[in-house]
Amino acid sequence: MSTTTSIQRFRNRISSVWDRVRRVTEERPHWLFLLPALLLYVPFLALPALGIFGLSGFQWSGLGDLSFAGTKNFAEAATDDVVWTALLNNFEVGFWSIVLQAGLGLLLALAINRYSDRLRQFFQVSFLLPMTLMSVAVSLIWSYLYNPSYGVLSSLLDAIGSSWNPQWLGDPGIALLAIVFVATWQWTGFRTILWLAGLDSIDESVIEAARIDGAGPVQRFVYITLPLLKPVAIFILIYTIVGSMNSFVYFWVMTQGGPGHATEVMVTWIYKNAFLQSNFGQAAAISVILFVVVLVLSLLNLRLGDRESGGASP
Amino acid sequence: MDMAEIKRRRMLRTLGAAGMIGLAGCSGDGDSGETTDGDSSGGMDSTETTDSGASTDAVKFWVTATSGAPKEATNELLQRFEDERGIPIDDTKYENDAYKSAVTNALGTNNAPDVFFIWSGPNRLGRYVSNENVVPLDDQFSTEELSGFVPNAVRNVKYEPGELLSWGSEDGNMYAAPHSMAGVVLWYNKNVLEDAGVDPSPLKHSTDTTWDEFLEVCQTVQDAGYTPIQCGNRNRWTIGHWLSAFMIKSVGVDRYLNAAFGLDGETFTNDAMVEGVSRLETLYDEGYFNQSINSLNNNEAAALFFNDEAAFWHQGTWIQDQIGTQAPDDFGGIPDHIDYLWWPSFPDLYENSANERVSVVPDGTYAVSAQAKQRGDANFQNAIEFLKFFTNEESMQTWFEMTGQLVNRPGIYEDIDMDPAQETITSLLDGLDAADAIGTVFDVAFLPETTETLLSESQRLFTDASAEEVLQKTQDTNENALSNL
Repeated sequence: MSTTTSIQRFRNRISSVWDRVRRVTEERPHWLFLLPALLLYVPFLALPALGIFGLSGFQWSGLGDLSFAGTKNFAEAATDDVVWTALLNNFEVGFWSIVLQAGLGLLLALAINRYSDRLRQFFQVSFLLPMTLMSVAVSLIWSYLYNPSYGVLSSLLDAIGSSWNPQWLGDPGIALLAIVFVATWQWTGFRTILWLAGLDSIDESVIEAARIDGAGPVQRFVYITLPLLKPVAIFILIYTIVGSMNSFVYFWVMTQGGPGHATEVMVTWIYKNAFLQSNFGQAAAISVILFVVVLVLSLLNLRLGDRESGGASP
Repeated sequence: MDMAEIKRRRMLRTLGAAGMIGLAGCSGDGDSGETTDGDSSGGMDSTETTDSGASTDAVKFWVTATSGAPKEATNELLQRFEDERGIPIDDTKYENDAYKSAVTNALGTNNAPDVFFIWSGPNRLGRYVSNENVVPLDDQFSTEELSGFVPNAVRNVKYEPGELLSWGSEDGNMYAAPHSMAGVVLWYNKNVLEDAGVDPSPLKHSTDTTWDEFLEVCQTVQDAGYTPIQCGNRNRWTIGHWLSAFMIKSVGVDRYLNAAFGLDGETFTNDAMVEGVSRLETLYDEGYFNQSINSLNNNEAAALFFNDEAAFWHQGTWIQDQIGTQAPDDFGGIPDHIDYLWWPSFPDLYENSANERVSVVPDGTYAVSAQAKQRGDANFQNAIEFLKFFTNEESMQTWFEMTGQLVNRPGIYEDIDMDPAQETITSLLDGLDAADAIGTVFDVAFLPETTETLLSESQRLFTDASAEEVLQKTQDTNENALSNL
């Protein structure tokens, strides 16, 4: 075969590949826009997640060979008290996160929505500042604030003459809420911004029309503003639930899941199984359980949003 | 531009800013993936890598000396080795808690260090022996070289090949070189005791202070308005040493280890051990332990102890690091301000209680990974040469002089002109020598699952669980873990 013919064949091959790529991008342009995200998502999220599903069927210490375990890891997880304790703690964290972060965030958004642009921007930045800090640093600082011997909170209580000196992180009855408070402090600002974005998207003329029709402020909020905020609410709900279900840093840095397992959450227990007990198969099984729980909750939320909006997607 | 357009642009600006700030703030609710331990003696660094001109021929060395005197001593020895032998060392230093999982993960990959620090018990070195991640070193040390080490230290780095539970077997192979050792003792504050009207001299290095005598001292200190014992257990490991000590004092070293390895029908739920562990509850219920025991970490408790707010506090003989970071400027040091006693004995539970100690012998050891051998003979020989250098007499003497940490070469102490603190620390060797048996703390000796259960459950001793419940849970976990081996 002559060199000329080989070169020509190579050129033809390149040309046909290029034609195919051009056809795809012209007929299905959405793949082109998805490509950058997929290049990150597939190798760093999707494939490892599939790997975890696979690992959950094996026993592996991280050092030797894998040995097939079937459903043993899931059976052990299902009968593990700590898994149930951790799951319940996650639900409690989720509940309080929704009430405090989303609820407080909405109140703050409503409060500053009517301000002038400059004042509103000032408050937006102020509320977002805690979010710019690293969660590890926030956790460490709050650990010191919570110190019952010389922490700021104890000193303040002492200064106002109170004899109450709670063991914020050492009392199993309040340690979880103490940590939830820290997360609330850091992330409510972000919810506020999301609510503000939702409020901004509401057409003023609709509110005005309701006012002209005689609707009071509460009625306008309940019957106009809230329904129109539903898409944002669904997003915040899912975001808050997912965030609370995969919480780790606060719980690990501040209490490592203690005292006992009072602040144990799913991810701290997964971490302990994997990296402290070298039981990667068990850790993977608990991760799969967490994945399923989060998936179900997210789908329920989306379904709720669909139903409330009469079948239209958010 | 109409209002809708303005609103749309404002909304996009707001969302964009929020998204950028969200990225700048690292992540969503708590998934930054960074961890650190407030107990680290130093700063928040979790890793450091020296710029020692590392090349592909460099020996990879992992160690936990991230701050203070141990870091300086490590750097000094590395520099000395590189200067003398011309072999570069590529060292990585991890903070203590992060190191435990980091080295385990690395040994399962091709990026394992050649030489690395590790604790000798089944929970640490034993796991690597059973998975063939470390190489036996018997052929690398001559009889004469081995004779310079503390015999118990050499014994405690021996395992039969692949057998995690054969720890300390005389017939086993040596899988690491012993380096440091640690006495695990109770420190007392002289200022507090004297102010409370207690003469501290009978306590000095005492091995036979009984439980009742100890309670009496605690009561006297409490009556004087002090907290008798400061303990910071928020990060879970500190009460673990108390647990180990009380278990050993209740039943002796043999039964303690038999329970851990399921030998001779021994369990953690035997009456003596339950009674021994319940004495920790007594200390808390009587107010002798600080009521904030689960709220403080060890450093915070140490600071209170050094500032004359408590009579007793536990720490191993690595205490000099803690003094450097937690003690006030006017702290009088060892032995003028603080000194130690061995743990109170329980002769009512175990006759020989006073003569058996808890310690960590050896504490630090250095092992050679299987990957070091797989990287070629030259690399392996360099790793061995470095290992032998780091654990020889001269290097160990430097280590002791710079850090104050005990080492497993008793010969080095004779020629050192010691300061009072060093003399106090080395006096522990007499106590260890005189002991009938020495038991290792459980987070080195026990299986990882058992260790984790004990760490978590021990906090519940001071909240809502009895000693019996805690030990029963530990026993159940241990049986399960042993059956999975």
